Amino acid sequence: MSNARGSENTLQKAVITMRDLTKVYRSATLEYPALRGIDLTVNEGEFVSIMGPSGSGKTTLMNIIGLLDNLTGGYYELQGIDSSDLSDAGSAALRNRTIGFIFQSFNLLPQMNLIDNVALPMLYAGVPAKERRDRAREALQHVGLEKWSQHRPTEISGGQQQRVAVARAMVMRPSILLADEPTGNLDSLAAEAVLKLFHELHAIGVTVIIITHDISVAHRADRLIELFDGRISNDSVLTGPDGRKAALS
Amino acid sequence: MIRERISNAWQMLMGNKGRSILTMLGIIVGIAAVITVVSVGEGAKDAVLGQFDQVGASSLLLSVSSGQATDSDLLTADDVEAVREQISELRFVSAEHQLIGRTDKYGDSTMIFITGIDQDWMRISNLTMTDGRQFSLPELERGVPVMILEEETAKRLYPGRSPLGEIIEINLQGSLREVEVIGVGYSVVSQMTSFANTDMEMPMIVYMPLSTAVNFAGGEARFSRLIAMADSPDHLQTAGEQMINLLENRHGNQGGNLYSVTETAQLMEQAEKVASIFTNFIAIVAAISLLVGGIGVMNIMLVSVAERTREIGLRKALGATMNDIMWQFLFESSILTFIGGVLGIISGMLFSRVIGYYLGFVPTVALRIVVIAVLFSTAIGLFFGLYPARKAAKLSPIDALRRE
Repeated sequence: MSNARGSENTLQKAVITMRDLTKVYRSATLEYPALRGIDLTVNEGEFVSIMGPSGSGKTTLMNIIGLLDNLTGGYYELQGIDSSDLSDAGSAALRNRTIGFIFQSFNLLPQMNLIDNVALPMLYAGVPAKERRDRAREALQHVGLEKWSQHRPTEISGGQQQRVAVARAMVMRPSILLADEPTGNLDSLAAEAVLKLFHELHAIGVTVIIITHDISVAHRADRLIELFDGRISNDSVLTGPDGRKAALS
Repeated sequence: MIRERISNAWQMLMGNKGRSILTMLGIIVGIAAVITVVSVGEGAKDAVLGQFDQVGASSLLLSVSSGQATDSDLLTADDVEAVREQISELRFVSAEHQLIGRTDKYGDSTMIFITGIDQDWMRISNLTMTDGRQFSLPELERGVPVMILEEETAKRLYPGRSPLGEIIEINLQGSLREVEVIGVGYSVVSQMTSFANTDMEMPMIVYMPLSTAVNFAGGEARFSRLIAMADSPDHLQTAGEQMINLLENRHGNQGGNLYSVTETAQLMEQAEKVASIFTNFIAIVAAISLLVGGIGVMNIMLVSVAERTREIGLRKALGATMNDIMWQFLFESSILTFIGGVLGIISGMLFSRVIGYYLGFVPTVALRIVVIAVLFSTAIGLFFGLYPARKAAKLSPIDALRRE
């Protein structure tokens, strides 16, 4: 099962490329290496789960993938762009266009109604107001919550909030969906609805990366990456119970 | 884009109305204090200086030093006559004589302040009649028992009717005198007195012919003040020196420095100076309260940054740059202080109106101050918003996003 993903032998376009990537957190008295040399390539259209115990470096890896944190050593390329070349504004713009984030705690802004929440990424992209509204409504429609568009996040259930978050993540039509414990706060029914949306997005070519503790969620992916102590301990292709997911590379 | 940022900031502020209002409170109070103090101060200054304008810039006030002077140094009616005749640069010369009496006419014993005046006094002090007539020449010369009520006194004791023809019995140190009211009027002096309105016993303020007041006082009056008006402001100084020389010669007390002359123009300058110092001092106190308000805004914005790490992290994850975050916080604090400033101006104007109403003059709300107040409060928002805004912009989104 190991080393299923070679990095050179793919014809597909790589959206994420990491070479010997390290990340060390430093405080005044302490040095903590969170990532100790990651080599990873994720190709366009993959569905990847990242698992690992607490402290294994999952979150750090996700932050670096999402351009939310700087790396200490090595090399990271997102959509063919070397992350070390990016300014703050440059990485914000690339993040805005390329990555849709999903969080465990949904992170909708309670001061805004749902349609404004969904439209928020387009505000930073400079999309005109009317287009923002139209596209946000369309995205809400897509997750089946259009009639709630004028309501506040606190007025709907957690599962519904996470679906709104998916609408927000996808409204800029990013190539990567990056989800951090997306089902951690949801009951199984709501979790299933959210995962179904992920599969739909995957089906139209979006690269999906899920970080999770939940082995059953992790096994919904085509590829499972396991982290241990800041290194990739396992990287394997998953075969679903129906055998449908085996046909990779 | 600016409009959208403002509306975004507005949305966040409206999402937490309670805190937004509390944050504004410091600015509202600060600006209201500045506007009130400056408006009331300017209004009071205008009122005081307006009275000096009535007295005229070419008036002189001669006073006898109260500490060292003996009875023989005080001025007599002959002194006044001598000054009037011998100093050609003076157009009007007048002494006033003040008496205090009581009357039982209005229930409890009421105090009466009597000012004995002559024709020149009426011209210098600009005694203006609102009812009845001024003293006639025969009345002034013969000491006829007639009097003019000061306007406020008349309004208070004869609300809605005329006091003309009323006979008032006045008790002056035991002897009773009956005096007829022939007019109602106001002068600089009476307006000055109305400033001192307190809840103490309100005295009656009345004017009588100087000769009448002297008669009432026992026939021989000695004055400690003399008011004169020169024919031109250029002659004020020489006229003043001549007055002192003449009086020292007449009383044989040369070199005693018992008489001193003040030009009302000087008084006016002094009053203006005092008023300005006072206004400036309180304005500084008010400005300090504004500064405290600004620090309050900064504190709340800092707390807000700490509370909103998750929101900031999220916005960054959704594509906000550091600049986007900084501007959002700057807009929020500027909107708060701008609105606080406007509300402060409105409440300051209302408040100074109320104060002006009770003190009896119109506060002067200078446009200059209003503009400065708005600019200043918005500047406070920008300045004190900058530190929290930079802090927010630099915040790392990582921890915030995962924190539950």
